Amino acid sequence: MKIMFVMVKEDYIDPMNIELLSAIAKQEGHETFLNVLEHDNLMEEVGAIRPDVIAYSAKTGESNVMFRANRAIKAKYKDKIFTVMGGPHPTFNSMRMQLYGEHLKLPLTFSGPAMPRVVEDTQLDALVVGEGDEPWPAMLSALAAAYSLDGISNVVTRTNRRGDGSVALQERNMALDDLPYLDRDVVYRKTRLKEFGMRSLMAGRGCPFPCTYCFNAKYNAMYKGKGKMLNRYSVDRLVAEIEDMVRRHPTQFIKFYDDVFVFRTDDWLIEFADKYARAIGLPFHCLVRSDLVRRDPEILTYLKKAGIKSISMSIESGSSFIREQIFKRGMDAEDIRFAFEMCHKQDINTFSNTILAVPVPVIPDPRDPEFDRKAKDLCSHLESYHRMNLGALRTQVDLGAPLDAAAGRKVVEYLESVGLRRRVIDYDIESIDINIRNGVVFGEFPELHPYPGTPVSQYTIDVGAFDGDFEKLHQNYQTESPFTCFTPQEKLEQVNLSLLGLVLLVFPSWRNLVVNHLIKRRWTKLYFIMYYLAKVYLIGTKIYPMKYSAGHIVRTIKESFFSELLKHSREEGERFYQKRKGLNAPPSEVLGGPWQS
Amino acid sequence: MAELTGEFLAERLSSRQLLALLFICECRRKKTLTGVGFDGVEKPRAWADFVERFAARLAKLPEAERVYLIGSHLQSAEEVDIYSNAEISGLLDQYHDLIETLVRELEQDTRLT
Repeated sequence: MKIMFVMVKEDYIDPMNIELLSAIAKQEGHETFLNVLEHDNLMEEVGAIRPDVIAYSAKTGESNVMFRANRAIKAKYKDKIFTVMGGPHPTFNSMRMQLYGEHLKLPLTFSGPAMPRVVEDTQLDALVVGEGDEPWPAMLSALAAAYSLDGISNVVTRTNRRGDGSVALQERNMALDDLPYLDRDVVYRKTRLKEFGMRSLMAGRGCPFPCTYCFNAKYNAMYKGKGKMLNRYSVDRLVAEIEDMVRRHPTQFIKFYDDVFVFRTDDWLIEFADKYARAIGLPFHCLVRSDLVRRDPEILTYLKKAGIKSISMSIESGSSFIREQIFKRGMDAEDIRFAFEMCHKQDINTFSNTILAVPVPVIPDPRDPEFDRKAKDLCSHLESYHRMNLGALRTQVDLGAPLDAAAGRKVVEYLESVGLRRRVIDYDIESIDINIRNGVVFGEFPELHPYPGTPVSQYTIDVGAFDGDFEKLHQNYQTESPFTCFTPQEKLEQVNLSLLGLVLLVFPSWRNLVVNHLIKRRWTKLYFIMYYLAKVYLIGTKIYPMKYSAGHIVRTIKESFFSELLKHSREEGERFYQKRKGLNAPPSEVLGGPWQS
Repeated sequence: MAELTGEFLAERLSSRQLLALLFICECRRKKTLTGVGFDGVEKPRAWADFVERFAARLAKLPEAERVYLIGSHLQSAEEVDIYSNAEISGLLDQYHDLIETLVRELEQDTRLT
């Protein structure tokens, strides 16, 4: 069979999902192709190739673009092409994704947290939930033989859909070594990744931590009791694939994209440090957690021995309240301080993500005539919603009685001690400060955007900050916050800080100027330029340093500038992009970008 | 293919029991378990350090979230499959007395009340 994978746009990270599925399909004797909606004409290519199967892997957000593409395909080819979608979006939304020939009706019986209550008209023939590579060979065999897919685990069709929204899942794949090497050729034939010197791959699968902005907690609940949560390639298998990759594709730098690359110093890490350094010897980047580094600092010694150049350790918030009560990160400021200091002592450049614009209560102003009510409401919220123990405060203050000035002061002091602040922007400034204080080399400061089904989305709905309309969310996390609890001025300051935060990592002495003056100005376009320059400098010299010809550098900077611009500005970015690529809205090319709603 | 039914043994343990188990697994991994004894007047330094680290992370969390977080460390850093009843049961049997001792210590620790 001919299988065409469709992705929305290319990035500087390998689409490992497509590369793995393509490798498996080729192993089974099929031909594979790729269409990138950003720059390829989908209908023309489908007409020329005539694929039997079109496969999408979608995150929420880009899923809408893919649905539009798929509706066009099905309108023209109907049953002649089988279309299927896997990835995070169908994994958590399958119950509301209407398939080809199906009439899915509301109300949906599924009662998960923060789920949109609208049916999506996808016109797909099937969905894959969870690990897509597991059912993939069986699906292809069934399709080739014109058999039904209804009995294949992880697959949802219009005839096997369960009324309660549940899906039968296979056990987790615990034998990763049996998987074929990623098929990078299918992607490199059509994208600039071929010339990019950084190759990404994963050493394993799974993350057990309950961070509320991530899908892993829900994913792990789905797979509870279905095999080990964490699975890794053997070192020999991993190194062999990298050797093969380096031989076939010019490679200067490796990015291990696992959520957490290593959890402890164990035989695997010791063996990896030895064999990777000897057989590959290329600088690399990986992600770890600060608390794990503090538990086991030797992790860094072995990563350094292997040749690590830079490391990601997300801070997520400088506010202990946000980190603990909202994001459930399970690490404290000392974990962060220790881990970053250890990295810098070992000359490992650090990269951190920190989320701004989180809806958090603020401490009421004691001069406010309604201080008494607001303070008590806030205490009640902390106890009932966050289940915090306010026993220490209650021993000092009778919250049932009117608060006099002394009691009010004690309440304020207590609220400050648990990490609450007086202004919304104070939380974000605290987040910038923890990055500066710990000498973070490169940092991203995205604003919180809720994803369907994640606990933090439910939180934002519960506190009345978000109406649950996920369709209106922007693709980029450095544009105006979607939360209604912020004023327009607060939203402006958040956007500005999300851009200037990185600039402050280069020029920390500008801190007071930025937080006291610059973030209040409507100079966001200027701040974007400053952000872009800081990003290019730090990424190119500290985080993923690679050597290129002058021509390549100019081309990459030009492309990355437009890419960043596009991400940051819906209208302006689109205009630039259309001018460059000639994507001015002939019907098939409307599919060419995720930026139209 | 089996459908999921029923509870898992690890889900019925308290955060104190899981924290005790995590400490034991960490010592076992670092091959320092034999040095852990509570017979003397002074508590083992490794235990004090361990509790201090986790008290800072857990103190403000409610019980259910403490359980989840400790479970994450057990699954990752200690490679314990907490959804394998046989594995958890084996550990609980093997270290029954030490777990009881550590849980008593934790019950007296005001940082984790």
